[in-house]
Amino acid sequence: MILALAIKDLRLLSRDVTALFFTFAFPVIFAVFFGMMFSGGGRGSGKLALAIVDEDRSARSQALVQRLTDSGEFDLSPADSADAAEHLVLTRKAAAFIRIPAGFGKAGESFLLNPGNAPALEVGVDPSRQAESGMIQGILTKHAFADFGEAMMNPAKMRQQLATTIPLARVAAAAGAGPKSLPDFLTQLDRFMGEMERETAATTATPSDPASATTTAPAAGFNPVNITTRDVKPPRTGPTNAFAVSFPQGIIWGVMGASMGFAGSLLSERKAGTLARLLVAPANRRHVIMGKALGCLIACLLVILLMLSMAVAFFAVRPGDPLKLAAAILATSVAFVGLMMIVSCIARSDQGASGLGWGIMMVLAMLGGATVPLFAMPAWMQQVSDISPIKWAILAIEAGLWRPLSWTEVAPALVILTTIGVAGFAIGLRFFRTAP
Amino acid sequence: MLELRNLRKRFGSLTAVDGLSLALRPGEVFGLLGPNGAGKSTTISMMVGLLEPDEGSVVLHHDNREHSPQHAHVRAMLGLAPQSLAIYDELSAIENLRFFANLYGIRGRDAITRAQNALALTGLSDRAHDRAKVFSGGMKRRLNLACALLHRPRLVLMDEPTAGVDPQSRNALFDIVRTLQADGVTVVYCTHYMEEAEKLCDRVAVVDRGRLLAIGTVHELINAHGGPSELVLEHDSAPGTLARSPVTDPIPELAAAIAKGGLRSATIQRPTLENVFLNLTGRSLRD
Repeated sequence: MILALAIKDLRLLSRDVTALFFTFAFPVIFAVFFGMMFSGGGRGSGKLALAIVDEDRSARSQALVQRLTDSGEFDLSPADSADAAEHLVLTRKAAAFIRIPAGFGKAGESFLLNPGNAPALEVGVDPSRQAESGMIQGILTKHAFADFGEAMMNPAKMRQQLATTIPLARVAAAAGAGPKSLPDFLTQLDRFMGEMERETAATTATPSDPASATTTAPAAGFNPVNITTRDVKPPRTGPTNAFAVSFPQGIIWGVMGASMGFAGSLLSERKAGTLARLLVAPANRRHVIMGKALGCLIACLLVILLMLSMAVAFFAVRPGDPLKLAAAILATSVAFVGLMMIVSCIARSDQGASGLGWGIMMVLAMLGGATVPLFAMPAWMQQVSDISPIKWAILAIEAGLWRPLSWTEVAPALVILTTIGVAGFAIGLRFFRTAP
Repeated sequence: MLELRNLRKRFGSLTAVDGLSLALRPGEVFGLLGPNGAGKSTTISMMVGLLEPDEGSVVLHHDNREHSPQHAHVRAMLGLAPQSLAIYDELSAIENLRFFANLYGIRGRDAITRAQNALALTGLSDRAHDRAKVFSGGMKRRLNLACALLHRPRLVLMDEPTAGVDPQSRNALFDIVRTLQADGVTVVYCTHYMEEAEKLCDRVAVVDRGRLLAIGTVHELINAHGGPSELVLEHDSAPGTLARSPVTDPIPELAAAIAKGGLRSATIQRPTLENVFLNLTGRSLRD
């Protein structure tokens, strides 16, 4: 019976376009808008910040660094050592680092002889930024292909490569470690490239166009660079991004919308006469109240889960501690059921519930950090905000997302929220059992 | 079926129901008449267990035992069609019915069948999947009644069921009441419309200021409280002017008027339930 009442209320909510907007759409708009605003939308280059360390310091490695810099695809910060590069990632000054290890240039020179031993690169990246990791690897591979392609198209560079490769090939062939015809082939190729070099110098002073080389498509099964990745997990000392702050705020607006809708519906049932019919049915007042509370709880949970799903799927917000997040979701929903019950006790009509409820909620929201983030408030304001349950709700949700709070630290928020929920429910139950 | 025993209910200094006693008979259509503020709605609220009387009791007779409507399991015997439309506008007719069926523990196929039967009885089958908000006033009234009937109650209380509906819907509602009566359902019919009570009710109670003023069949009430008949005469000497005179025995009076001659028309007007109502409750306005 309680479930039937709850389902009925959820169905009614789903058909109320205005309530749906304020419960689901407005909070998303709020979270996205403020998330983008706090992200500084348009500020900076918008490029991915990368640290790069060149341990090889060969001509080839320096050419790669130059190529990456010239491409403008990354905001590169050179680092002196691998530790310094990693530090930039750990302190979130860079999204990832690229390490060009010693031997990169040598491996490149002998690549024709031994294609299995491609020049190596290491990418250190936050494991929560898999999308960026993939993008970095793709761009590095593209540049490696471009470099290789340019060498093949530039006779001088090719001859330089062959000069080191042919002696090695001879040694390998003598030892029976490679095809015997390879040194001869490479020598012929060197001769051909020499003629090409002279021909090119005679016909044009323009070298081969590097831009066209960058368009060389990667060949299947062939890779001129061997990229390895390493997880570099920065300590969680702050929000991963601005959306990790704006989405908890948006969630609060969502649950406020859902709970105030339910507060109004409890009173409109009385006004419309449907409450009388419910009570004449074998439902008693306790059933009706519990049905409303369950409906409100489900609506709040749906709002929170929907918004968190969006935050994770589209805005790179990551639940830092899923268990704390689950506890926060439940405690927040319970608290707003209690607030809904209290508002419906104080108000005398559904319009009254809407006006009074939103009036109270707006004050609590402003105090509690649902408009201006808590950390952006002055110290005295942060203390005043203790009186708002919304502060505790945001704090608890943030603890599940990024705020580094232990269970002991987050427990007061969870206890306060649950107490508000239980007390509000008890007050509502008592009020409606005795109300005329 | 249902008995009110010396029922009393006060709201502050106002006594809404003052020592009301009456008993419903199984299968009858019982009219509850009274001016505004007479205590009808308070009485109905106590009948269905929504309000607890300050004094006296409401007793439901079931399985040779007496029950209070305060008990939820007994309330399943009752169906209430309140004056305010107790339906959800945003739900379709069938969704409203299935929801209320669920509250009575009727689920699944049975709930669908009963909802369809209730829709057929109230002539709403064609609009089963339309939301109630697009219904006319008469359709909403019928849906309001359908919601009170789908759990097959033995006693149905209808509070002003024809308020604001067109003649077609009113006639449809009368037919529903007659169908219920034929099925042995007891109906309490609360109305301001005297002709409806005359047409439908087996017995009628007139209440005012929380007290029972009269109870009986329509015929009994008219005989007891309707006053004398009226002889209405129109003479040739004054066409269009009607002379009215109350008469206890109209036939000799009419014969005498005919004998005098010069009579253009003559009508004998018997007293109606409205006369009973006005004689019992007075002609002063009630606001």
